[in-house]
Amino acid sequence: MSSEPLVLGIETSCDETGVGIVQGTRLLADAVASSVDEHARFGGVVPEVASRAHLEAIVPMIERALSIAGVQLQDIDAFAVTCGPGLSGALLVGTAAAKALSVATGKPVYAVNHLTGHVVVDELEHGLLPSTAVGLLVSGGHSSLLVLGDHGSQFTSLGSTLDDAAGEAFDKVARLLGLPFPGGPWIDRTAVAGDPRAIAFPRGLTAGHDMVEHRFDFSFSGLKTSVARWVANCQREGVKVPVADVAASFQEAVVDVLLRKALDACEHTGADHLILGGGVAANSRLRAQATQRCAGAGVIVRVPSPALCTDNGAMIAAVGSKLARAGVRGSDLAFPTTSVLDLSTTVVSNDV
Amino acid sequence: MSLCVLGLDTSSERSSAALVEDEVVSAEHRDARGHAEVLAQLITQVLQPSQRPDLIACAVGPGPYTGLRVGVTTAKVMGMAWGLPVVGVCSLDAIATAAAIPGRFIAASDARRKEVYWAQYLDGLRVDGPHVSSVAELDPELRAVPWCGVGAVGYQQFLQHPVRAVTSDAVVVAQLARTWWQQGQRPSDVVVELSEHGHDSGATGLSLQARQLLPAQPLYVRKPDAVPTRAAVAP
Ligand SMILES: [Zn+2]
Repeated sequence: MSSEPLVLGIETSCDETGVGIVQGTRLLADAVASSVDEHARFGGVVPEVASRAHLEAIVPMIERALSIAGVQLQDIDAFAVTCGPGLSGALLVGTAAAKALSVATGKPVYAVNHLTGHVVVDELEHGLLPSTAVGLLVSGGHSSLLVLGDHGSQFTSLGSTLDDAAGEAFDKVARLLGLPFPGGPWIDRTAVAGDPRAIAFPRGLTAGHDMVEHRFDFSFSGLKTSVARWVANCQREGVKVPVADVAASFQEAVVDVLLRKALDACEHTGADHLILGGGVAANSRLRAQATQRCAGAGVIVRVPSPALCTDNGAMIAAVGSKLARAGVRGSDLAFPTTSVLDLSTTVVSNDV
Repeated sequence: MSLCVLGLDTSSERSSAALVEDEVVSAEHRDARGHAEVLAQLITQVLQPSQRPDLIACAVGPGPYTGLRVGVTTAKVMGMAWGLPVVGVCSLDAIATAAAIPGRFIAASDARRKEVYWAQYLDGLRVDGPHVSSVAELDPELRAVPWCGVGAVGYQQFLQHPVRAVTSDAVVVAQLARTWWQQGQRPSDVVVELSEHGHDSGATGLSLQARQLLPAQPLYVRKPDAVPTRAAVAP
């Protein structure tokens, strides 16, 4: 066993109850229970349903993670937990659990920014983060471009979505096309058989005048409306909707905007690394295009494997591990949860 | 037999933790801040660093769900960490015990949305409920008996007697759990009943035995509001 700290991380900000264990940058366990099926018939995450599911799953997930890692609870050196951003009722279950573990074992707990986790998780697969990089975070709740400094422990936001998150756009378009929730994987799968150039859907906030004020911001609501209009037009004219082509062309528009702005951000900041994170980073077209376009631009792209792109406890443990290795003190036991959290806040500590 | 019980209560606006052994209350703390913020700290105030209880008891409501889940999560996770049994106590039973009203009476707690959670008691024994209702729409006979519970104070105009404003708290929860545990009760006895009647009973109420230790899970008297969040806030 190495002498690096053993950290258990808990994630309950949305509909996944995740508990992960890492030692240094080594992933030992990643246990995740999802309530996504319970939300499917509502077409979106129902907060009360998610909170109930977290409470049911939290103890079994802690036990499963310990068992997979082959460690005892008393071997854990520190705990880490998502304190935001996220659904407030859902966050409370995870933070209550982490605080209880801290009280029961006498070990510190780190209150961690969920978004930080999506980027830092890459260390578990590809080693320490470079000293500077651009992060592209895309998921059902966020679409953000950030600049990472100080090996990933400092963040500055460059821009974010003005309306729908990228993952939300996938959900809405999937619904338009009669595909199930969550839409991301279904669009991805359906698009394989389609032509990404079949329909020229708009690229939001890329026109000249938008680039002045919103160079690094995103907007996907116009794209969604455009797809809706296109589909309605087919139906009005009695034409069968070419679902695969619409899915592929929509996906292409999203991927194109994301990567165009991300590479622009790399050029703007002089960063030679791009880190992708969040559930939408599991999209196969985004991954393939990122590899291709970054190579052309001389930027090294790092993307966690799909299982680590979606919400999980390992990503929170990875942040906790980074903090523990840096000798950062644990958070005060009375730390609050917050549904919105500034990106620059990696750890919340009440006693500084 | 000596039995040391750690009690937790987050079923009302207050948070409390208590340690009860040999009928002696070791400590109790209350705080008006958010449950999830203060509860862990309250526990460290009633428990010495190396001290371990024999049993953990938590209030399981009915009460606002967000708060309940903080107490129940804390109790279950600490129970797992220490290898201890964890039990639940109905918050209305705790209110009824604290009020100690002779004869027939009703214990109630705030259910928000202009409703209360309530149960009817006869000489301290729950004979009906918990239910969730609007006080104004209740049978006048029910509104004529004495009421207790701080959650009913706002509905005084519909009630005949002055409401006795007591709250469920960790001391009473721990004491009730201790007594019932020592009588040999174990919460697994009612698991089936809860799953058959409780979770499917919608907004009408639950069917629980009186004076009974419950499993450590919130008494969800209402079904979840099926309103999806606009853009799940979390990625
Ligand atoms: Zn996320």
